[in-house]
Amino acid sequence: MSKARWLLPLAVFAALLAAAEAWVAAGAAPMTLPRPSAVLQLLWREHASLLSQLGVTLLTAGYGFALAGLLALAVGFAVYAAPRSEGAVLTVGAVLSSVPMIAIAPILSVWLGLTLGTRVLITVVICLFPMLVAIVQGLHEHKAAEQELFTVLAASPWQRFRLLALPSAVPMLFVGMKISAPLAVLGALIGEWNGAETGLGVVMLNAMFGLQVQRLWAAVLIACAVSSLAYAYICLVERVAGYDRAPVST
Amino acid sequence: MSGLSLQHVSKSFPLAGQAVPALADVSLALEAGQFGALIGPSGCGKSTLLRMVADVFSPSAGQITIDGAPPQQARREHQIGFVFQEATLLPWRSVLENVRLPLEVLGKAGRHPARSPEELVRLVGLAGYEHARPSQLSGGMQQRCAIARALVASPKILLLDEPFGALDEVMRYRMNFELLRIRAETRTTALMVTHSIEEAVLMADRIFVFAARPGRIIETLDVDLPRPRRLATLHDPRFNAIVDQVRRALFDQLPQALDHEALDV
Repeated sequence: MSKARWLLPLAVFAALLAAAEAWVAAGAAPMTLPRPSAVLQLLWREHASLLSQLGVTLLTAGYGFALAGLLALAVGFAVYAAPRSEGAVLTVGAVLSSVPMIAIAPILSVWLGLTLGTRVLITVVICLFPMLVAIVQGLHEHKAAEQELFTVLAASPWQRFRLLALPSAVPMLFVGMKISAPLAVLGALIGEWNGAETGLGVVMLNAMFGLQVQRLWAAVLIACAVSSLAYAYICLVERVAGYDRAPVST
Repeated sequence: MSGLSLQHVSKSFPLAGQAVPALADVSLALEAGQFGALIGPSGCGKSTLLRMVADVFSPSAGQITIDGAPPQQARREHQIGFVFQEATLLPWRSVLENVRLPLEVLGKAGRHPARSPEELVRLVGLAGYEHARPSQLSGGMQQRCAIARALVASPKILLLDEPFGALDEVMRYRMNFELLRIRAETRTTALMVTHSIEEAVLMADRIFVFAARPGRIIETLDVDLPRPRRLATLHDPRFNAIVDQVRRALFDQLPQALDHEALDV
């Protein structure tokens, strides 16, 4: 990866932080904007407790992401086995993903209780659709000649899925996972806003109602960093697996 | 009956509510171990014929048998090797893994092949490239890999759909001699679609010349050139005589075909 890819964004962020620092120092900023340096100090001072709260959130996000991935895979195979269901499945998925989760989450919490399961469910609903679309689309990503090859080989539907359709879909799966990974963090936070005892979302809520502006911004920074890292992690896996370049098909 | 036999095979495709004939009353026979070539103008149904032998789709009428069995049975028993116009290798698999694919589909029955994938990779001249990805190979090498894959399950018949059509002339001749050498070892019955008259004469024991609209055989020629065929075969007066014969058969149909098109308009 080229240096410029890291240096330029870093420089932009540093400049923004410096501008904010100067703005607050000059006394011109609203009281809801703390000094970036004070936020960083708080991050350092309370890093142990913040990290343990983050751990709770990441657990929810991880469960939700994994479950959504498995669900997308299962539905993907079902659609592959019964191609006529594709339109219906994608429509249901689109409707489901268009539900404003932030409004529905409290209702789900009332129905299902303030449990880890509810928070994971919210996460699953939020990050399922990108992976589902990617899988359904990806399972078509092979050529007619490859289909004919598997016909001549007398491959079973399961062999066709496992040996042809699924491997062909992998580049698309990575696209879906890259979109879904940050969404999983958002889903876990929404879950926590609707009732939890621990987690980064709870830290945010408490800080907001307690007017602890520095703490709120610190939590926001952590959420941003973790979402970006989730995306970067998928990119890394993609690179290691050798799927970051456009596959040269033959 | 051993070998390949087609009797009164016809195929029509539905188009705008009408059945458009692609092949009409095609009969041909190849003895086991023989090499057949199908040559004819584009759109004469040669590839369609190959796919019916491979049971990718069924004829509208007529009968096909491979060593006495219908294509459905031959395909289900993994007795068909197919080489496509494009190599159609799976890009995420290495050369060796691509060659091994038919054995994986076979499952248990594929565990003890007559020739190992490693041996076939060597036979097609890809020794040293076992772990290369298809994208790292030239077009000719990719097609060699596809030929090895088509042969790995020891099929009764090898079907080749213009396998060297995308290669330049020199490379095509090289691949022709490679395939002659490989076939001299495996002795698999083969049927190849080609656009090149020289290729057909060099490779085949029997050439089926097709005409279009509907696709039909207008001439069957036996090639009595001695084997093994070598570069010197290309300079054999007999070779050139047969090339002329095939060319005449192909060109004879031209005025008719043009008339036919004129009538269509």
